[in-house]
Amino acid sequence: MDEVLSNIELLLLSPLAAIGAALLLSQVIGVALQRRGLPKLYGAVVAGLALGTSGVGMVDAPLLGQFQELLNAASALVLFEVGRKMDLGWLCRSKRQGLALGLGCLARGVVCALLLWLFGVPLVEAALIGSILIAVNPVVYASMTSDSQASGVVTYAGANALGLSNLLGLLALSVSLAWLRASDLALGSTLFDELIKQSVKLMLGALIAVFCYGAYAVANRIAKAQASVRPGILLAALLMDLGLCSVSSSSSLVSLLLMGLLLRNAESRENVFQAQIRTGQEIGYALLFMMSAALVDLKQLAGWLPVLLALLLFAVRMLVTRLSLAVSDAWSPGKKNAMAITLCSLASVGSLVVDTSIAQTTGMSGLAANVMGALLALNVLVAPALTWWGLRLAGEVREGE
Amino acid sequence: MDSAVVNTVPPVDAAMALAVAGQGPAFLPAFSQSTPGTMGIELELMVLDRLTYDLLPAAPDILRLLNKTKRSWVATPEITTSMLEVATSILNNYEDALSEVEEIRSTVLRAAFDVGAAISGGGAHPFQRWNEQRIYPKERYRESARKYGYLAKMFTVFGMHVHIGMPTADDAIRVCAGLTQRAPLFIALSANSPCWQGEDSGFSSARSNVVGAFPMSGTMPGHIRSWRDFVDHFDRLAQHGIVKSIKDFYWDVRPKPEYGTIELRVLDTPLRPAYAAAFASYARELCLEMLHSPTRWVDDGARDLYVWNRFNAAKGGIEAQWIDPYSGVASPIREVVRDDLAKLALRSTDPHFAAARRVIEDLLDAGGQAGWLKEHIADGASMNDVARVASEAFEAPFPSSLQRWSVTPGAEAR
Repeated sequence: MDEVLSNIELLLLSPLAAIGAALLLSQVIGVALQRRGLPKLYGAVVAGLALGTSGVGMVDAPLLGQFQELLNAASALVLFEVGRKMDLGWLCRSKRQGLALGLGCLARGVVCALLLWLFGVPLVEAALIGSILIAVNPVVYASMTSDSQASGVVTYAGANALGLSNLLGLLALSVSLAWLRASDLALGSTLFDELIKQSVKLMLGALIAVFCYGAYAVANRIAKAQASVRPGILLAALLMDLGLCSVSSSSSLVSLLLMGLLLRNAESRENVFQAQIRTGQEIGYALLFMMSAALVDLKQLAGWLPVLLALLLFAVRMLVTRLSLAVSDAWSPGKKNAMAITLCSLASVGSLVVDTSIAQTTGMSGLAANVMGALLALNVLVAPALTWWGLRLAGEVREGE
Repeated sequence: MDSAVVNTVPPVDAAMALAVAGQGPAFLPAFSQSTPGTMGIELELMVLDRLTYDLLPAAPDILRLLNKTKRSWVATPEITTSMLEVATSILNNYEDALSEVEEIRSTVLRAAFDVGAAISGGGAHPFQRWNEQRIYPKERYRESARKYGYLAKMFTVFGMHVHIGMPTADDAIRVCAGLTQRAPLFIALSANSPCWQGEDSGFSSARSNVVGAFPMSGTMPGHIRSWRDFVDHFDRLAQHGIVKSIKDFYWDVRPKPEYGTIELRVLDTPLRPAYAAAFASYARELCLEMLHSPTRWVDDGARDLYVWNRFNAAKGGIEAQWIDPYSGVASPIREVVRDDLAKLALRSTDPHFAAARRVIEDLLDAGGQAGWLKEHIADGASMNDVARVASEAFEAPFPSSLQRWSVTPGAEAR
């Protein structure tokens, strides 16, 4: 009997079983919420908060650390999907629309960094956080549009803004990270050295993407593969990309984002892959978000200054996005408002940017770290609801939803 | 004086609008006279997602941009938000038609591109799901959705209508009956919807089967041989509350009294707008010939023959056979169209009809639009790919009004 109990205890201690249990809980709560017309992703939020750092502590950072490789791969695959939805032809040729979205990304970063600096955060750290705040969270956006079966011009422009923001965010982050490291006297390196280091990682990631996309295209030509079998060949190329990035310590995020971008834009027949694994994708989103929620420490919302600053940054990001959209008149004012709201979510060091090199970043001052913590908490608690509301405001969700 | 008239007699347009919206009493306007042989073209276009080529509910956004442009043609919404209807101004010949549909093509494409959408011709989207479509947010369409249930969303199909000007109401009825018998030729010629709800339908024009589900579809009844007969028929149905306006008749060819035209409604929207100009010119010449020829009414048995001809044309496209309702002789549609074009060319006064004829003959030589799409499917193209190549065909500009041109632009992208 004791042996059986001990086995059960062992099972419960298994990291995989703990993650599985958390995912199960998030699905059950998510479906119940969906039945009441609420966003399913909040199932992952509730489960993550209940079982994570803020709750019983069953799913915590050390446990998630055991899945670092898996998390890296999942995040990179999410970014692949983001890249696949970026229409470079439209972004460039539509001129004002592409400009408005690009301007929104850059303005978010600059304005947020300046705001943080004004509130006393050291400039180098403000720049790092500003770089992160350029990016829109792909899990929140993709999950909400999928959940609401949203489709229309806001959803389309949003998907492009998402890709653009993540691409620009990753590039800006490399620079600001180099700056942060160069300013760390303990490391003893110069800004130039750090910039070279970051650039090599990005360049290597880009080269791997080009190589793997080339392999995919050649394999298709040799096999004369029809549309129905091309996803299988694509999966092999993606795994190859991830593996090569892992052994070369290059940026898998940039690499996979570029793979998606190449697939979408290099050859027009590849525009038309339909998501055959939609359910799998949705579960993946729920898993990633549950893990993010598990890392949220609600105590971060206790300090008034970090919370105030986080709320201000949240509002300013939306305002700056909305102002940037004024450059184009292709969308009605109502759609522009909706777009600014749907793009409110943010990526964070703890969730989207799980690239090992960044996750190991240390040395942020107390205020900067507290603001990031409060932003992460707000992002998990508020951003999905705002994105969900924005899509309804745009009138692009399925009728009757 | 004028204001007294307005107060006592409701304006025709207002009465018509109320009847069409189903909110006023039944109303049939008097038949307006128009110049014989003038024509107008209406095209229902698909609004597509540029990534998946699925239907995209972006018509309201495109219309918002189009409404800012100055133009002689009109753009209006349709029953679902992935549909966009455009209608030309009054046209006099093939050259007019070609130049205006090309202008429409480039303007609509630009507006669609600005909001991130693509546009396509074609009679039916290859893989859209009817239940995912959204009714256009306008009371008239919501009323249709209430009245017709799921049929309203099923009606997310894309047709081309041709209006031909008629000098009198009786002529309109007479030519309407004559053109009806040849409508299957236009179904075959324009057929380009081989796929339906994600499957190869086995038809060349799957769209043609959708209209049949509506009450008042089919053809103008054989007993109607004058405008008076038509008015009596309308009144009888209106008394029962079955119809309220001419729009409640989904006939393959119907009179359109407010415009002084007859309206040919059986065509799939062509993959290339220039085909629309050529098909309209063919219909125009046929109508002019009928207008100036002695009346030939078909007998009662011709209705079944028509149904058979229609089915065959939708199924086989230009490869199908057509049974002449007057002689009873069956001939390949390809040959009937060629003979028609040769005969009409002799009497046509349109200096550019030869160019229209050449476009149609090139299309016949190439195996028709449905044949071209079926080739893609046979080559292993996915349904998304079929939608993509159709959209690319629409995007390709017509090189020059009188040049020969390729029927299959973008085929190399397969």
